[in-house]
Amino acid sequence: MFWRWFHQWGSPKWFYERASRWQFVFGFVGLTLLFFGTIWGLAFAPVDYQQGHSYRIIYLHVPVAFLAQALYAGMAFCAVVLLVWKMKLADVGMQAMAPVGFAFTILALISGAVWGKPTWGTYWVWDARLTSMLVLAFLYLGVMGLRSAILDFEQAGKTCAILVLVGVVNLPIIKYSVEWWNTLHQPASLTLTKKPAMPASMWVPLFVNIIGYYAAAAYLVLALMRGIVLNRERRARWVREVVDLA
Amino acid sequence: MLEFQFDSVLAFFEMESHGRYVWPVYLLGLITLGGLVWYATRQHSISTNRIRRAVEREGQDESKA
Repeated sequence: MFWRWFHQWGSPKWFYERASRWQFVFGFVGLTLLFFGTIWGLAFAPVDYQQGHSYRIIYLHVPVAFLAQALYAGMAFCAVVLLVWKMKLADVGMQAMAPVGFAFTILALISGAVWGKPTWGTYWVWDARLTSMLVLAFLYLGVMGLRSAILDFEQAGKTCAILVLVGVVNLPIIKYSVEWWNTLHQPASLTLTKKPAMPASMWVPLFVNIIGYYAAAAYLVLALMRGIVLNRERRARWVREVVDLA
Repeated sequence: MLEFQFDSVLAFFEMESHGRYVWPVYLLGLITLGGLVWYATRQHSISTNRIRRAVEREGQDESKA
């Protein structure tokens, strides 16, 4: 049962036919949750007694920082699938996640820097968390640059997969940087294992925004994957039929 | 029950002088998300147009032959 489902992912046609439906669902869920979650966080969540209203940046900063790392982990998963099972769609997924992950990493860095000014008195310090996030942005740039430098899809996919897997070492460094070193950056606001330190009136809108940004990222990755699949399979009969119908 | 945390709309935008940090971040977030949606849509339409042109070219070549 699982293997049958898994092997279906080997068919770009099977994926393309379903992806527009998934894209609609993720787009709708993402837009709705982000609309309500952002208004909730900005206007209705209580003010922080130490940081004042500047803490409201958390409702954007934390979700995009989570996603910056999650998308890189997703790329690493795709890299393994590509290298082990040589599945074309894994390479397409890896290619689609890179620009989205890069944009979210830059957004996390900038929103963190702006939040740092009223909180720490500076936009930037070379502490472990900030520097390792900057390294993540360079890794995304490196993967995108490497891909655009190699014309052959297959060769580009394999080479990028190896670079992505080398870069995975940065993910635990990002996660544990606030524990391994003395940093200005605060420890994680939300973890799976501990009860949140903030009250529910603050973390519930944060949770809504996290789900909203994940859905929006899924929408974006699926939209990019559909375009890449069409381009790569352009000589296939089914692609020409799809384009004729559009 | 959710309660509006500000005395007025102006106070909401000022956020006790923190508005100058908060609002630009959300504006940048909106621009980034909008830009990514535009980029993804454009990549799809570029692929579609490229294939459509290739199909048309092949049709013309066949009719000439």
